[in-house]
Amino acid sequence: MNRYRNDKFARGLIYTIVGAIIALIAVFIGYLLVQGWSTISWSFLTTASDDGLGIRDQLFNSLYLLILTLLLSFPIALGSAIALTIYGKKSRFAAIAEMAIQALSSLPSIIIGLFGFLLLVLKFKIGFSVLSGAIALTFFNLPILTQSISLAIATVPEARMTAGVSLGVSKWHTITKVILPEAMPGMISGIVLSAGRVFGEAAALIYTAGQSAPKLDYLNWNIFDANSFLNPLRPAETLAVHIWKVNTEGLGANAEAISKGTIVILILTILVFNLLARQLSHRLQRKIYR
Amino acid sequence: MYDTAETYLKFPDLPNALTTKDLTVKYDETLALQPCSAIFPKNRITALIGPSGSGKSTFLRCLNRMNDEVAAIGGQIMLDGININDPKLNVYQLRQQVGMLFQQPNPFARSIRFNLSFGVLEHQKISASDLHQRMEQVLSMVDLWTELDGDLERNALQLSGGQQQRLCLARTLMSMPQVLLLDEPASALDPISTAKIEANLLELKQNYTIIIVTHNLEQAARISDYTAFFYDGHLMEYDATAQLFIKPHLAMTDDYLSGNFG
Ligand SMILES: Nc1ncnc2c1ncn2[C@@H]1O[C@H](COP(=O)(O)OP(=O)(O)OP(=O)(O)O)[C@@H](O)[C@H]1O
Ligand SMILES: [Mg+2]
Repeated sequence: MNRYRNDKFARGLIYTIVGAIIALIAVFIGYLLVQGWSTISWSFLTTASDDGLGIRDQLFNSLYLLILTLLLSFPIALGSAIALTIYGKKSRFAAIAEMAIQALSSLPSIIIGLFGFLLLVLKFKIGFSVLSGAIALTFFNLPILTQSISLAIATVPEARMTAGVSLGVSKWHTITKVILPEAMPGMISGIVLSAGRVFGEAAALIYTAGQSAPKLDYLNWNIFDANSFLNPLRPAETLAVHIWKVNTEGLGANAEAISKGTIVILILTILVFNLLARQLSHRLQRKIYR
Repeated sequence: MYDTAETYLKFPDLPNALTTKDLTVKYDETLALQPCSAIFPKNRITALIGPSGSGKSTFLRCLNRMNDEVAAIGGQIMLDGININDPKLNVYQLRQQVGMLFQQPNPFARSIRFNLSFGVLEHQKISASDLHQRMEQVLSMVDLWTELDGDLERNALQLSGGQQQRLCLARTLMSMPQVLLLDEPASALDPISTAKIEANLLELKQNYTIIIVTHNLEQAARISDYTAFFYDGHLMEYDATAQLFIKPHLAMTDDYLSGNFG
């Protein structure tokens, strides 16, 4: 029958396209890995860039900024998502807020970076710092994170709320004890996807977290010391900014090697995030749906 | 169109569990429930019947304040001498006293244990052994305890639709309510599951007052003691089920029961 032939053809076409896309990505990532692989070494990961090739401090800065950004953006995003999807559903306010979030999510990150520069670095005099960077990244991250958490919450059937409320449980407790646990696997996927974006972001950071990586002392726990690794007011160049800077300034003979090696580390870290998140999300799902 | 001026309400002279007085419900600008005064006798099953959109669910949902957020509700609902339509009333405690079951089974996507204990633990301090005992008790009342081999750790979503609905019934029983409100609880179920639920309800009526909305007239005739007929937001006729089904007083009730409505 003709219909079956068409179906077979369409399916074949779709598989071919998907296969081609996967192959393209594999070639792309493979190429970057091969190019940068020779640079990677233990000392590349554990020495400061002042002393030569190393990206130790950039790697740490990237992780530190990511953690701070998530700490700042997750509670706000979660709160907004709950407000928009459960309490404010179908309200005028929610519709307007949703539009604002969509607009904000399509804002180019360089604009967020410059806004952060004017407001945080200059006006509030926080300077080029981890804190300025984390706040800028929070603006960058909030729209997408809010959207993905809202989506995760919206996949939980409304019947759960009706059930909870009809049993004499308050809305809030039904949310925290039934709806959020059920939405957790979806929320984790959303957090990790956004974490990948944050980790690789450069434009929003160039004028906020700055382009210098002062040599850090990882044994100095006094957050007020300039060289303490935890000090939130020191400038903090990240991996992505480092790649950008090395390429634009092209300093020294090693610039290309450094940039390629850094790209490898950036990609690998993001891949590891994704794998970990997948694991965590599966495990949680199994625990809840056992 | 039928004339709604003349109603026939014959309430029994029995101890009552719940009464309403001039209960009205207003969604936005439309009055979905006209002033409705009714009496629900204790330990009896009362069926609410009537065409679609006549206000049965609207009425039922007021009785445990599930309409609060969507509608303006006037009048009085008396339970144990207390007006439960009082805005100052603790609705969370009320809902432990007046349980509700819906058309679609709505268990939580968690273990049977969680489903049963969640609501109760919000309100009562109760020892682990008491809790377990009560769970066994309510599951037995709906004939699920043996069916599940007493396994409380299974995910509720793995049960069949009929079992899920009986689990939800058991869940409302955990707080030992006085009144059960059921909104077409069997309309999404197969005949065998429906029969099981009906058998459970007849058993439960010894200790509970049950109000059930149904489109299944045979079901109303089979299990209810009293029947209320709603039309266009009015409570039109109320009588003993045997009486109402054999010899309704209003022409419109007669037409509805014989399928000549409209
Ligand atoms: N949340 C709501 N907002 C506005 N109007 C509503 C709402 N819920 C119900 N109504 C209206 O109130 C009237 C009564 O509805 P209700 O659901 O109580 O009828 P019902 O008798 O339960 O019908 P069915 O047998 O189809 O369930 C209908 O006209 C309906 O459109
Ligand atoms: Mg209804």
